[in-house]
Amino acid sequence: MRNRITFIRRIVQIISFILLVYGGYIFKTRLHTETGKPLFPALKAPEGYMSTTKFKEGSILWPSGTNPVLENYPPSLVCRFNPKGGLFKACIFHFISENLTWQTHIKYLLPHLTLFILLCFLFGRMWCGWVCPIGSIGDFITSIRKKMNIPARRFPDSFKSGLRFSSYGIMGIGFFISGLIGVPNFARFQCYWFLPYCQICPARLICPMFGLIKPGWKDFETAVTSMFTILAWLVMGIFLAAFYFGRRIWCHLCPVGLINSFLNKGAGIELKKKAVRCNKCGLCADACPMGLKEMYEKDSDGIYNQNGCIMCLRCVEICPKDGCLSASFFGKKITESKLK
Amino acid sequence: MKKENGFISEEYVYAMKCLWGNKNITYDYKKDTEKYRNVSGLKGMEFFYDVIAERKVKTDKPVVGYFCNTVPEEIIMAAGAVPLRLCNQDIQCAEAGEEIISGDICPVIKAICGGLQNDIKTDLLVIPATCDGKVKLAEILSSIFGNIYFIDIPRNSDYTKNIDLWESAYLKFYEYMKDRFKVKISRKELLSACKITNERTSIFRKIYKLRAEKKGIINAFDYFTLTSASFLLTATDWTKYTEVLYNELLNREIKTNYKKQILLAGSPIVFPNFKLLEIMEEAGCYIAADTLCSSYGHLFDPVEIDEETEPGIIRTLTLKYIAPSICPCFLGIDKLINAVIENVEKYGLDGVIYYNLRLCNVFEMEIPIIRSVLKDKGIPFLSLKTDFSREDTGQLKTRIEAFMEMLG
Repeated sequence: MRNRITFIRRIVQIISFILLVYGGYIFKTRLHTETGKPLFPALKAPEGYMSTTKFKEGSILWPSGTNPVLENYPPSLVCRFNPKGGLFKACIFHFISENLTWQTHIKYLLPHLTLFILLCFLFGRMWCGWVCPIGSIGDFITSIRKKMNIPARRFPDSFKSGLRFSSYGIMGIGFFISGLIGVPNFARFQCYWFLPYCQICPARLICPMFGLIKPGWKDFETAVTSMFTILAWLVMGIFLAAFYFGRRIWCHLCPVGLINSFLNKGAGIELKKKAVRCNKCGLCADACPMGLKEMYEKDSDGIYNQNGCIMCLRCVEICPKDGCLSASFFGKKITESKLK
Repeated sequence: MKKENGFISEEYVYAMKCLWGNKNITYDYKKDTEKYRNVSGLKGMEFFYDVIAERKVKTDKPVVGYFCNTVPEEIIMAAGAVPLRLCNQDIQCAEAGEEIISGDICPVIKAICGGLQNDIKTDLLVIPATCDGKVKLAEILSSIFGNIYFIDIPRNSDYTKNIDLWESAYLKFYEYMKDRFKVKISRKELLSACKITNERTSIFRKIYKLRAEKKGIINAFDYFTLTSASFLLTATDWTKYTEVLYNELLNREIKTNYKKQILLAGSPIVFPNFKLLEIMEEAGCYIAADTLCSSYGHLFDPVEIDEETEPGIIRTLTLKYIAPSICPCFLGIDKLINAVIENVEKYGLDGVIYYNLRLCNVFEMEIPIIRSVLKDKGIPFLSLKTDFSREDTGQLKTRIEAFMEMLG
């Protein structure tokens, strides 16, 4: 089969999407009634602080409100706005923002962070290419574009690095505000400024839509919520346009992907190139959904895990030269390019 | 003044017509093919020798002739035409061409120029801007062939720098083909054309691999006749008959008296110009692999479609034809060196012979680079400079025999 890896990836994406978005409906109720308590102790907002469940229905910050089955394992919420919380938590950005505000003691966070770092160390940024629910939806939008015979728009490298720079900015501002409102003096801002990035994240609108509940999509109660509502729709528009026209250009901007990519270069999963077999056809660079070119440009053997790489392994799949590109896991070869 | 063909004004074209005499060039290769057919002993090869000997095309579809490896056959096929590569290396054609363009000019250009006067009738000629000779050839030919399409491609074969320019050049050609043959092409036609050429690629790769792995499985004449026949056949026909040949080769008993296995690199070898092959066969030198643009460059690379949209397919076509091109006219000798080293290491070959067609200067300029790289890697290297005439046969023979002795 020509596109074997993409086929497997699609299946993994669909399964992950079902688990992340509908997981709560499928597993949680049963497990909860049998055992009576979650499998792992949940991280809770401390006494006296704004509880996340106090927001009224329809408000912009209204969460799904229930705890996932495997609370905090993997160590973060998939998305707080998901119906029934999903099967397990996974959004690291939400996890860090929330606990910065709550000022949770580091000893409670340590196991979760360790697990997260371990997962990043094993798989790098594989989350984005194989699991991320809004990434999967984006890929679906991309496939509609392909059906409509519209070519992908390609962006210059300077634009991509600009997006990555902005991504650092978004991450910095998001964490700064989250930390700031955690200080008791600023606690009164919590009800509006809680989780600032999450409020404009496209997943806040998309995941509930698929999860059969109404997202808080028109909260114009105060100036701040109005701002966040308008920003959220703006970002949503950018998100849809980015996936429609430019394949995975959005993922250069996503701060969750940015945090996932920190360990990309030393990750257990390695993309290798054997330079002598390369015929410089440029297919790897052309087919890369993130538009990365390092794999093509390098002229010597080595491991080329790039910062933006989402480990979709499309380059390995499309390479027409026998054994030129390969993917391995701690030195053990998983797959390599083949003559077709 | 209206420019009928787009290159030269009508007035000058009228004046240029006197360039062309009434040359009676006959493509009678019966005698030549008979010589190689007797050595071959393969039933599957009969068809290809027949095709070469006749040099005719039986088809109702419009015929599009082209000259270089950088012309996308898939677009021509999608437009419902038959693409034929009319590259010619016949000495009598070269002599006829000498009367039109005399001087120190590449013999392939001369042979094309002379030979086209009495070749297969084409509806359109497509000439890409691969080398300087081809560019001027387009002007000269425009005086007798009204229909010439010129594909303008930049010479740096680096994907990151020129992909957009290649894409726009191919898209223009695509639009032109739609207008010229009054056909509607959708991606369905393009995809089926790509599928056909990919099948051809896959069977060629099988033969290429078999030849390298089993010493003496197919002799040089058969192999290069096979690849030369692919110029004159539709991709479907070539694939069909090559599959038959491949099955025959799989069950073939090998009796061989080859001494050494070498890789042949350099200028293209097309049918009657088998002088070098004859000498090498005689010296017991087996061509186990090659990187010539007439065989490896023409048939080895597949179309890998990333996005099945019309511009997406055209874009990947440039990544089949231009980006991996090993033509010395392009910037990027890495690809050729990689291909040579990869083949030598993979199949354990004894040495590399570089065939340099006299008066193609870019091939000659590559030699010092390749020689020094291969010397560094410890791979024996021999470069031979010759043309279509048979005068230097003895000298070449001595050099090849000396090289064989050096290999041990």
